[in-house]
Amino acid sequence: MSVAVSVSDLSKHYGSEQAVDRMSFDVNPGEMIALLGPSGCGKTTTLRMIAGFVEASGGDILLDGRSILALPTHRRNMGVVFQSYALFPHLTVAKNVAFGLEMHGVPKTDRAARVMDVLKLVKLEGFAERYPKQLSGGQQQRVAIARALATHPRLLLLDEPLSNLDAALRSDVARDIRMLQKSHGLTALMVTHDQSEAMAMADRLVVMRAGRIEQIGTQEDVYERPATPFVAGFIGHSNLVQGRLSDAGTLDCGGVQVALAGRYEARGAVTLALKPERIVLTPAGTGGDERVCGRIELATYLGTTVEQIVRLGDARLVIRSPSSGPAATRRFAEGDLVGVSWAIGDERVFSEDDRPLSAGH
Amino acid sequence: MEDIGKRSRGRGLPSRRTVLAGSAALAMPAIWTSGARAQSSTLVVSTWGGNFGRLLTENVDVPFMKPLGIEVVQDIGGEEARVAKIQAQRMLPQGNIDVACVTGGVAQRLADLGALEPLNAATVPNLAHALPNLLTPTAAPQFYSPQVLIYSSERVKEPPTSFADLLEPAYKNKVGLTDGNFPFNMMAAALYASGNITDVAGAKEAMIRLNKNGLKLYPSVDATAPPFKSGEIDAGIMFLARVISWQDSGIPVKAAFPKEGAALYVSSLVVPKNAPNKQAALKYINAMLEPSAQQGFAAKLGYIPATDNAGLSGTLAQQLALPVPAPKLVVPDYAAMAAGSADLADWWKKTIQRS
Amino acid sequence: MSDAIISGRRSRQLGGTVLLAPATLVVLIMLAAPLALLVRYSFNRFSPTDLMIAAVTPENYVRFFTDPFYLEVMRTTIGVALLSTVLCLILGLPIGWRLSRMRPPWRGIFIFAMIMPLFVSSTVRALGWMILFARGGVLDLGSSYFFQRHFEMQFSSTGVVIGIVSANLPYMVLMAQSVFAGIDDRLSEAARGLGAAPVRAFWRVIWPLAIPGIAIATIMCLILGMNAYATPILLGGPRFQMMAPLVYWEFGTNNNWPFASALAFVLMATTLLLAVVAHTLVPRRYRA
Repeated sequence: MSVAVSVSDLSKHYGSEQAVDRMSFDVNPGEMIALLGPSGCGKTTTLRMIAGFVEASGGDILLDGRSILALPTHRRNMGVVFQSYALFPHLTVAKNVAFGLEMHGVPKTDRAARVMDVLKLVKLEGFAERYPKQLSGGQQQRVAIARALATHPRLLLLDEPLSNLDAALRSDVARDIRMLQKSHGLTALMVTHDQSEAMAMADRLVVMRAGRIEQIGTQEDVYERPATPFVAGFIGHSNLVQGRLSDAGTLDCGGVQVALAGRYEARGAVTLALKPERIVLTPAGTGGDERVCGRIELATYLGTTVEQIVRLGDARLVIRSPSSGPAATRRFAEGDLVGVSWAIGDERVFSEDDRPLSAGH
Repeated sequence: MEDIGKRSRGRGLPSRRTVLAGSAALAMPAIWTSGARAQSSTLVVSTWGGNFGRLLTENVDVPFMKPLGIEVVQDIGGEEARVAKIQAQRMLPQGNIDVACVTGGVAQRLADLGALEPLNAATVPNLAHALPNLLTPTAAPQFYSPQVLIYSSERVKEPPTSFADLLEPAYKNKVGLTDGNFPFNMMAAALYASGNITDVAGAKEAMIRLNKNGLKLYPSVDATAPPFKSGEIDAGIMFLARVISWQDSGIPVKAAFPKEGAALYVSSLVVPKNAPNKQAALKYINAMLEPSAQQGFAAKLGYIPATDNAGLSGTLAQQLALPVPAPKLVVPDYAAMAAGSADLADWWKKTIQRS
Repeated sequence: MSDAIISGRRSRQLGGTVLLAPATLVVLIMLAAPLALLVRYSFNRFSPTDLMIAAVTPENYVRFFTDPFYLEVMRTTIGVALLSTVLCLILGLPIGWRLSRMRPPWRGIFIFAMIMPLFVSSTVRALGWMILFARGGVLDLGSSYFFQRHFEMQFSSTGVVIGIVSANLPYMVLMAQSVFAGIDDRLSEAARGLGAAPVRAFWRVIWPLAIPGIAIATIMCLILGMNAYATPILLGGPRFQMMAPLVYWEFGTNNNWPFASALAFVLMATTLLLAVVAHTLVPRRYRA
């Protein structure tokens, strides 16, 4: 089956400021894509260009193979769920949901049934006659989704769907949306700045930074194989250690020599990315594959995990280990000298121009 | 020390007057007035502002009152407000106006109410020179001006000679009157109708005819000048004094005395019976009738002095001189006017303004 | 302990009430007392010699309601107020909408431009129109030159309506602007996303939400129009009559305070009635 949405070289600039710079990605039918990045990265502008609220400066957007750039919003048939929900405050839940049906010319006689169907979908059938302000935030969001889905949109667009919800609700709602999307085979695009939201809800992530795509891939792709130091830092909160490759297996990190797990052909300035939960600490001088040793500067007990910070010359490494259970490791006190080690697969070295270097044994 | 006291009193007065304007009608006694104004060196003159008030200061206050140690405070406002104050205060033992500048009709209305102090040559020596036909027992005539036909000297070839001319088709849509002057407009109509200035019925009929001839109304005297200049109107009825001052400011108009007679506009000074400073008030009126004061007003406003010894000379005397043979001048019948003033105002509003 | 806290709070509330009392009293005296006096005066009797005689008589009201002249003046007043309000709506709403959707620097500049005329009193503005409309004025000269006929706008009801609209329009624009600016743009986007063309999105979503605020602006324009004084006098001339100048005429020229009070009270009551009617015309669910 061909792609549902194809975005190619999409750009937007305001004067000399480049908000979105030649973005290209596809959305497959029945797939949920998350545009992920820090605020100001251009993800929302991209969504608004797809919805038609913002005119593109260049590039194209194809929906089922046809360009929709020339179409005004109301003829694009997108279901948009806004961060603020944007429910019509003067209309009841049922009328909010029926609005799109009316605009699409669904006969009045059919509307009520379709409204109830879609309200059932979001488990709000008992709230049809309420006004938005009489609902909780979570309920309002479900109305917003129901309203967007009522017209059977070709593409569902979700702008920061969880950010206006209480933290406690978020994972539940994320799961509900995900299940709804999967069970109905909805093609969807969401925008978020929260990597855990994106991880929980999307099939694939598009990681963005400063108007450009850094990496497109599944959760595992971007987590295990980040394409750039930015992705490594943004997705896995990886430690990014600047240094120089002095020989194939040694990173000179401000005078501290780190014995790398892999062997690299490049020389010169590189960035080493290490995930906090993939680093193992042992008492200094006891482990065979100790790659570097340093002192514990800070140790914090966080419940399920313990966070320890080890000083390596100018750099600091954050290490997170389970606080109990079979994988729990020994805990150290501040000031202890520890050996730091990791496996070859958990080591990611990027060249000066932010490309990953392949590791040999 | 004394100076400071005087000045602060002078400043305090306007606000008290403002309060009084309202409270007088509430019949709230002006008790504080009597206490505060016990000192007799202050004189309150209720008058029009602008040129009129300024000329009073220049020609009376400064040259005559100041040397006597009398400080004049002007209470500036419209005539109707002045009447209302005197009327409302007349039952009080003491009012707060010493001298009021009013027109002849108003002076009569106040006299009929018994609100005015009698004036005569014994108390105001210069009244001996006042023109006898303008003199009344309670009002000192200051100056007068005949009401004449005014016409455009540019567009009117044949000067009008009577109110009757204004009714002609030649003047259709070309006659303009000052709305606020309606009592005098009606007098002109009455004189035309029957030669009797109190002929209200005849005046009404004539005015309705004038109205049907496309009469234009302007809210104030000053608003009646521009249409003469712009060509909107060619003729009307106006006081000679105004015709003269408009001529002086370059508006191409001329005056013609109507053959049926010209009603006289008379400006007078009166003293309320309960004036707090009656002695100074009489001195003030006497000073107003002095030749020098009369000349000052005549020169600036174009009014004819109401005294026989004003001694005008030069261009001014020529401008103010009445034509030969002497035109018929008619002093309004104030008693008749006063009786019907409210009804006439209503009639004017409903019949003339409305159609 | 908690008793002390509660009593402390209560005494603080009491203190607030006591502090507010003088201000409330002043407002009461300044607003209510003159109104009460007005009503009282309107039942007094007028006498040319004594001005006002204490009485309780309906004659002033009877005079108003039985004389076609006064009823006609009231009709004119209502007509001018309604017409000028409708024109303010027609002209003001699009401008207010456009302003509310402008980007920051321009929006401020244009709002300031709208406020500018309010720095000049409506009397001075009416004088400006007078000069413009006058024979020999710019419009008249243009009309005479191009159409060989004079421009007749001075002392006309059209002139009065133009004057009142020009005086009230800034209020309408500013209020409409703030009403529209308070409505989230996302709502319009949501409607468009659901298939509503922009115009339809406006009428179905923005407009219903704006109605309460627009109703208030409309009522304000209506009140200003009903009570217009300087504009009808200056631009309408002696032959054009509206209620506010008539009240002043009876009060100032005829010194008939009882009748003037009755006229003022009738004007006030009619204005209030119109405001209530305007309010009830707004569907209940849209009311503020």
